[in-house]
Amino acid sequence: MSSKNLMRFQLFTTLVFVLGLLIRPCFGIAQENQRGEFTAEEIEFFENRIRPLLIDQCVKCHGDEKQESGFRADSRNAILAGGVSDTPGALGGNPVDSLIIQSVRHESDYDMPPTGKLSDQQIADLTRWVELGLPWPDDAEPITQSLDQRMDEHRKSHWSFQPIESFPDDTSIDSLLGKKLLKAGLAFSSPATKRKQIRRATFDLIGLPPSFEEVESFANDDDPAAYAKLIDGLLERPEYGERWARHWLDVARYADTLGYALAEEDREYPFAYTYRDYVINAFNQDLPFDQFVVQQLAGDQLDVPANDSSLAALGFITVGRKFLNQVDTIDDRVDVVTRGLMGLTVSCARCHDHKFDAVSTQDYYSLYGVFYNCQPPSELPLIGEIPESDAAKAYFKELEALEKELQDFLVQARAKVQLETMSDIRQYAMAIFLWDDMQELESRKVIQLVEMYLNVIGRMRSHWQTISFSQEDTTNGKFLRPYYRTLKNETSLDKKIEAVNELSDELERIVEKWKSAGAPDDAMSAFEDDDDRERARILFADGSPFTIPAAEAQFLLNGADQKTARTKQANIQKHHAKTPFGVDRAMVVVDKANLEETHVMIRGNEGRPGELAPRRFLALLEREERETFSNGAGRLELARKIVDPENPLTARVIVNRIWMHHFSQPLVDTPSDFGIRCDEPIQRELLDFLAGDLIRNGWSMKSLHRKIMLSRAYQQSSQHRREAAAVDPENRLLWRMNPRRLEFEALRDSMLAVSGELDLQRGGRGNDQFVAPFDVRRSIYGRINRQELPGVLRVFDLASPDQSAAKRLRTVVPQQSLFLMNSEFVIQQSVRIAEKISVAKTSEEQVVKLFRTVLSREPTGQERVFVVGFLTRPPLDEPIEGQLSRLEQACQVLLMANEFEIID
Amino acid sequence: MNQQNDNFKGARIALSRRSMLRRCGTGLAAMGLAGLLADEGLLAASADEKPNANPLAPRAAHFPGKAKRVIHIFLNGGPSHVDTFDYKPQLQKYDGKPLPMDLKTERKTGVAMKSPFKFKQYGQNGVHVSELFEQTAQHIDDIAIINSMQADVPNHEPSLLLMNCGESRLVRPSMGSWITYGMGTENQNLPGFVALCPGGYPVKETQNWQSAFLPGVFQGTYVNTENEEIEKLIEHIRNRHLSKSEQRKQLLALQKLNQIHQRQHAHDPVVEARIQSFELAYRMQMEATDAFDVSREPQHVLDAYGPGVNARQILIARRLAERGVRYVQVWHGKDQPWDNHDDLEVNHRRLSKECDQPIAALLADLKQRGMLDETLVLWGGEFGRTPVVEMPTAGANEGKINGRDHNHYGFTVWMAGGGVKGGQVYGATDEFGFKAVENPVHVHDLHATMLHLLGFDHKRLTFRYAGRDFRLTDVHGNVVKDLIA
Repeated sequence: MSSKNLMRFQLFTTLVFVLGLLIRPCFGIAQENQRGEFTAEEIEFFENRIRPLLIDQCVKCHGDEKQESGFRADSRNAILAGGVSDTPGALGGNPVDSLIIQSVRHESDYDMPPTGKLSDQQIADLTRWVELGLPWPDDAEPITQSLDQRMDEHRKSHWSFQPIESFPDDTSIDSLLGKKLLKAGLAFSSPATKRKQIRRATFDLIGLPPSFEEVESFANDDDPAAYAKLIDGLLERPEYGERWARHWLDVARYADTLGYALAEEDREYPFAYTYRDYVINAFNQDLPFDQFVVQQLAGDQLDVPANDSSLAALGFITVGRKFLNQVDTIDDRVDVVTRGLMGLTVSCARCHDHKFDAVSTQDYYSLYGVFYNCQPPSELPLIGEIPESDAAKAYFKELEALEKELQDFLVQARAKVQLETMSDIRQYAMAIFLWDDMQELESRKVIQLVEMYLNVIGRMRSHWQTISFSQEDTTNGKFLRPYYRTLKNETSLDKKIEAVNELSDELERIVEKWKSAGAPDDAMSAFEDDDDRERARILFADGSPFTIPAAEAQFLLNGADQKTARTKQANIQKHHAKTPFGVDRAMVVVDKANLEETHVMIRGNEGRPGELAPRRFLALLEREERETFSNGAGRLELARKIVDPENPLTARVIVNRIWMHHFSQPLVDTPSDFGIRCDEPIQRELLDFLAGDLIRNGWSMKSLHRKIMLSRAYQQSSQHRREAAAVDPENRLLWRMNPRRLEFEALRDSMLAVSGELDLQRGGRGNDQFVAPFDVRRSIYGRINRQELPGVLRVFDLASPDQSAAKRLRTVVPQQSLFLMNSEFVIQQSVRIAEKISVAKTSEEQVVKLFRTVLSREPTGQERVFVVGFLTRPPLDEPIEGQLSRLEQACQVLLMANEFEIID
Repeated sequence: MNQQNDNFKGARIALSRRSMLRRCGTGLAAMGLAGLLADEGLLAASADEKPNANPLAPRAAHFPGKAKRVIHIFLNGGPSHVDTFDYKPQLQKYDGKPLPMDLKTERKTGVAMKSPFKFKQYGQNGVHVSELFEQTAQHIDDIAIINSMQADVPNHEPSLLLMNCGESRLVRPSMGSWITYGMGTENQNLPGFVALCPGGYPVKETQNWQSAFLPGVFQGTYVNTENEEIEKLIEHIRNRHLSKSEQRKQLLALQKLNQIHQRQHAHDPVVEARIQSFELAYRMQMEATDAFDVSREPQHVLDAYGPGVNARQILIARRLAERGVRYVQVWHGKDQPWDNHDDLEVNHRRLSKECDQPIAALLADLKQRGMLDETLVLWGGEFGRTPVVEMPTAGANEGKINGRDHNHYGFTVWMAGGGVKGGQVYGATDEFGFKAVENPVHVHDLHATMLHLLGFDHKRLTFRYAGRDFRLTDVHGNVVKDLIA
């Protein structure tokens, strides 16, 4: 949309809105408009000439998904009722006074359709149709576009699905922004002062303040290339990766715990930090973004050594919340991949086709199938070199002991289940065949359910059904199958019991024979006779609960034993949480050995499988014939589709995110939703220019930063300008830099930096940073417990680790101030700063030192006088015990000051 | 409004009216909240006007509702309806015999089990209430009992989430978060949404009061009411290193420096908002200390509520409500105290003794202070219990055969005050209390009704997230008109 059109559009919708408010009470009252009987010819006319016209030209904006001006053109009543203008959309028999006719003739306030006038024939058809009294079939549903029609339409018209536009060589950020500013009668602001520029750039790239000395030396550097050198230098600092990885972790819903779990289960993701460290390194090494994506989705399928540290990238899939139901965990994975990487809300299509975007449930379950068919291995792989330390050796030794303990318990437990079940085989047979009569069987004391293993019953039942009815192998079922038939047709419970007793006699005989052969592990070896072997398979063939691998045996157990197994499992997990530094594991997934087809779940209901959903990419983004993924679960193929330069979304989405962090405002307001409800942004050309540039530069993030930060737009002053704000109050045209408010992480890190306490140790497992004695590493190394997020992080708007976060909300609430005023952490930093500056002899000197330390600048004369006064005036009351000195208080004042948190 | 989320963008809070109007032109649902925010000054009339950046500032709902605040008394674990407010004489007759009906229960259940408690009739309409809540029953004419509640499954975790967040499995905002998002809160010196629970968390922990994708400021503030010291109740509420007068002076110094700085930033709303928030925080220290200190109540009030932590926290709930806190949730205890699979008689008796008197005192107190009309009190658990006895299952219960299993087919909650039509019993379970058969009220319907009492059309209280407008009732919910006075 050109900016002129845009302005007109804004004016128009404003008008509509105001009208809407005025007439709200009577909105929605349908006009009386008698419908007569329509002849077959009239209906045919509607079907042939009008319905296609409405679908093609009107319902996209006036239908189910959008109701521009509150008007819908998808049913007769809706057209008659009209929209917010409080005028009927049409008057049957009176085309001249009908708003839709006036509009298509461009004779009303609305020139419809906005894309261009209809043909004369079309206008004539519409006119005739209104004249006839708007013939419409009686039983007609509201007309809607089919998903395929919508898809065609969106591919043709929606801005974000169009190929990325290319631009002449002399195009730049400033030329594109400048053109729009000029049109609006505006211009860039003058450049910010050099002192402000270094402060801005330093916070932006490394999330820490420049020192007073750095500021002064930059301010006095006359080299014209000084600024470019500054940016290059900052990009090479390891703190850069720590700063920008945190932005990505918002998208990746990073946390160190899995969320809610049963009491005896462990909740840690003890190796989540390897993903966090991977992301930090990826930024620091300027790993091309396309490779970054591929490694995060399919790092295990690239040709890398088994202990390669890039495997940690797969944490992108696995660090999300673990839900009690696996389907919800998979949903979270589909969501983070589609919204996080492509700005498409595919998860909306879990229960029904996407209401707005052309994404079908089949598309959703195609991707669901990809993630359904991969899972974490039973033990996460070690990555990197394992240190030769004693601590490492002790860890592995203890691990082995704990694993053996669990294994031994499960082997024993399995034996116990087996023996007990065998002795009661008759009861189990009853339960399996006569489950529906359970209550009666119990009251007759035929079985005593309370003493049985419920899970064994379940597993055995499905095993017996398999061997009786499996198509592939009919021999096994020869003996068992007839019982199913008999019992199905039998109505008398006594007769049924009799039949099961007969079967049980045989099974007991087999059990005895097995026991008398010494109960061998390879049970089938106890039987030679064909008939015996046939019967023995019922108990001992693969799939029977008795042949289950020990690792799965816990699923057979009853409550208390199962709890013990879980506790032992948790002990191993807890031991992992204590791995010594350098012993790292990657939170990978691997494809299942036996891939399973997945189906659409109708209405999202697991119990209602619909059509098959082959694993493949989204129809909307595929241009040619769609191919089914053929390489395992298809993660690598999916990743390649996402970063294909022809994919119109991926580059635009990441450019928008990067831009958002540089300017505190994205170009596209919904950074994780570029679907059709996302209007074309005012700066679409700029977005495309940068996206194309990113791809051409080999997806280099650092080049993108450089390009943005070297622009005039970025370097301009953030000073408010009344006349510019009157034209563009939201600064969409970038007539100034937006002042930046530090996120909590940068705020906390900066406090530690100016107090001199900051510990720059990199990587490794995180600690709780909110209990004393305080951990003083950078905030990105703090432990994030998603079930119990520290209150401070919550009140400072940390992105919720429960879902992929598009952008952070920024609130101002008193709880934030309480933290700054009263927390031991902030007070501790104030005391440290005071220690450092108390070496200065006079109050005057102390104040100078204070401003240099905390705000990296000299105090103004007014500030100096005021703070000296504060330091030297005695308190009125008796000090309380441990009261902060005035100097310490003054240090805290500067940490709380607006200037410390808001960067120009 | 289309982009409600933008109200909370800090630096961008002061959306100009023009841009707001533009954003709002696209949908009907949009208009309600836009108007509402404009009325409340959340939107600046022009770029030069001082905006109100506080997302907790009070706002009018869609229409004037009777209820201004909610106190939710949560008997977590699932109180037995047939032993409290759903009188079933048929269970006497069938005691020890199989019921002529059968429903699948979470665990194995057996024959009918009569209520071990005596029922009496109360109030103008002779409503039956058991001895467990004989004191609460004195207020029966103010109470609307809903005996036909229904949830989806007989498990604690999903039912807790359903009751609190309107969705059993996925991460969605809790009712308290929705309501403070919709209305803000009356007292800026206290959190708008407080969850009280003595000793630790209930099952599902903080997810019961989560704000999910709503701004974090709408999340419930958890308070462990076993503590009596204020510092343990609200984080960072007290400064251990400064006297009040010193801190006052320190903050004055801060404001002075901020003013010098502000001269260059006169038009950035977040600058002004931060200045205000220190003032608010300073006042909050006093107000919060006062609100949680029940020792400031006169002796006769303390006596009326009685002894014990439940009495204390229900009294705290009244003090918070009185001070304008929008939503107070009072959990009976950590984990799930009312989950009596064994020894139901002993346990239910003990538990009701802990809360019957304080609940009765709360209703009397609210009424006496003229607050009951505006305070919606909700009583209930995440589901009820079966009319049949639970059978022994190894590892799952103690096998005493004197308790009841979970029941989501039919159970009871009650509401009082806040525009509720009291003195009535709405809906009914079958003759044994197993399943709601007359006028079933699903949890979504309860939510829709509560929002209505507060002045919200539950279909219009929405938040745009991940490409979709979410609401507490998702795509469900019907307002139960008969419950409204």
